[in-house]
Amino acid sequence: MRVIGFIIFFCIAFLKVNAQLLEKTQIKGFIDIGSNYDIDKQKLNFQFGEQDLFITSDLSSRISFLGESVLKYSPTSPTKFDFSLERAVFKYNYFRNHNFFAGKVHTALNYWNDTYHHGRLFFPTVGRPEIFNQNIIPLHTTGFGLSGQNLGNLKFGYTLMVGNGQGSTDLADDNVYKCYVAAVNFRPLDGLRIGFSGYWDKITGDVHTHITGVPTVTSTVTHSVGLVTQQIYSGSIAYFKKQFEFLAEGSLAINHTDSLGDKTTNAFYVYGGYRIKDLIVPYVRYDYIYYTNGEVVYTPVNTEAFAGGLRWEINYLTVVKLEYQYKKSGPKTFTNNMLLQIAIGF
Amino acid sequence: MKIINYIFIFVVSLMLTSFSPIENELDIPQIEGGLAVIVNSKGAPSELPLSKVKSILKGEQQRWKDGAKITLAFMKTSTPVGEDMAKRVFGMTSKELNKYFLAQVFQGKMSSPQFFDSEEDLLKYVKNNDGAIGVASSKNASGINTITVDGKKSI
Repeated sequence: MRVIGFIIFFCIAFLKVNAQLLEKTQIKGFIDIGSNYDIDKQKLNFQFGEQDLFITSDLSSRISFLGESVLKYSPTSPTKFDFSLERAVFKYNYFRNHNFFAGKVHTALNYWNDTYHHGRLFFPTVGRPEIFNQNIIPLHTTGFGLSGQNLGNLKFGYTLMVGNGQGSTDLADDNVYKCYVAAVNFRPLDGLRIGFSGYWDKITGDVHTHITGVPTVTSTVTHSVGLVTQQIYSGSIAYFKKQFEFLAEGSLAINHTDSLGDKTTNAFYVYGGYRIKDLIVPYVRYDYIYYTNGEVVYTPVNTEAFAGGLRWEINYLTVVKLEYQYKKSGPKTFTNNMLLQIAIGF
Repeated sequence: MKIINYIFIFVVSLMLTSFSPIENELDIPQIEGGLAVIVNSKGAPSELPLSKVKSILKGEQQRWKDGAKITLAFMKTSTPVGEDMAKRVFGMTSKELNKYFLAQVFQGKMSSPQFFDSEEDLLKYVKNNDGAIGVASSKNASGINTITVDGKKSI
């Protein structure tokens, strides 16, 4: 009888604890669908974007977890869709606003990558800026680090991280070198954030892009030039208030090899929006990327792009965007597209 | 021609929305008697300036000075108290406040606040959870600890 009593007591206690935990676990998601019209080819396409699920859970007063998984298009999958674990972050709040974290994170470089992640509901434009589409910065890093936020009157924030470098998988590093990330930001005024960040890595193997899963750097290329030492420095200014929206960020990437020396890439974009009604924001964005001759890590296609559109925020969980995009890739390739996107949170 | 149709449909939809009578959410009537900042008996001080209260309620501070975790509890913004709170405490519309919290949680910057349909449930939650802080109508905030904000009991 004592054993049965103990089991019943244990079950009740277990259920009670779980019920408390479940109260603090939330699942939310985003999805986007849309269409694009190629003006030059006069071709209309309908497209499904990404289905994003994210889970947050407070496991104790100091420990929390955030997971984000995405179902998205993949040309290499038989079904043309793949499941992707985008973030899995364990966080321990060790003192006031200071945290230790471990797992797979969006690399704390630049504003966009650190803020919007895969939530197209939050994107001010239809898609990411070219600086992210062309993988100038590593979008994800698996490792551990320290972070802090809203410190002092300037609302100072920082992230310091060590992780598997580029070319690694989520399970193992591909070489003995680690990558290092350092990022700081200040929010001196409501709506204003100024940030700086640095990334240091040594690359010896494949660098896998996030968009298609196809390597941009093959082992053959990197082995032929030897070890690539990479440094990326970024700065950003973001100002989002009721009426005005402004975001500008730029990155300088230096890829160094003993045989070719430094190859620098400059990339930036500027975004501006102005709310004319409670619900409607016309906006523009200009992107620019310039590579040095002989670049070995990136696909060196100099790019200039312009986007202009209207964002219609029906409510905080439904946003519709209509956007015109012009893109010049290299000296001869031009594209003109009209895009329509419906982004939903649920 | 296809592209023109495409733009035309979108613009007409926008115009229909724009000309429909949209109530300016910042013009909503205030709750009679004002709002009170309610707190659990553990963690929170008895008096704070409004700027600090705003910062705490926006999730910018994770712990009280004694180390207790700050847990946020609000009325849903679809309720009159929640709507008034969004306007008076945060200076936002209900839509903006909901979007703000969704974005902060998504970025991993804070834990999701607890939202309630009834003030009775809100008061019970704040009373029973260490470090909890929330906003309720002053007239219903008797029998629970409140913070004096800029020397006043009500916002």
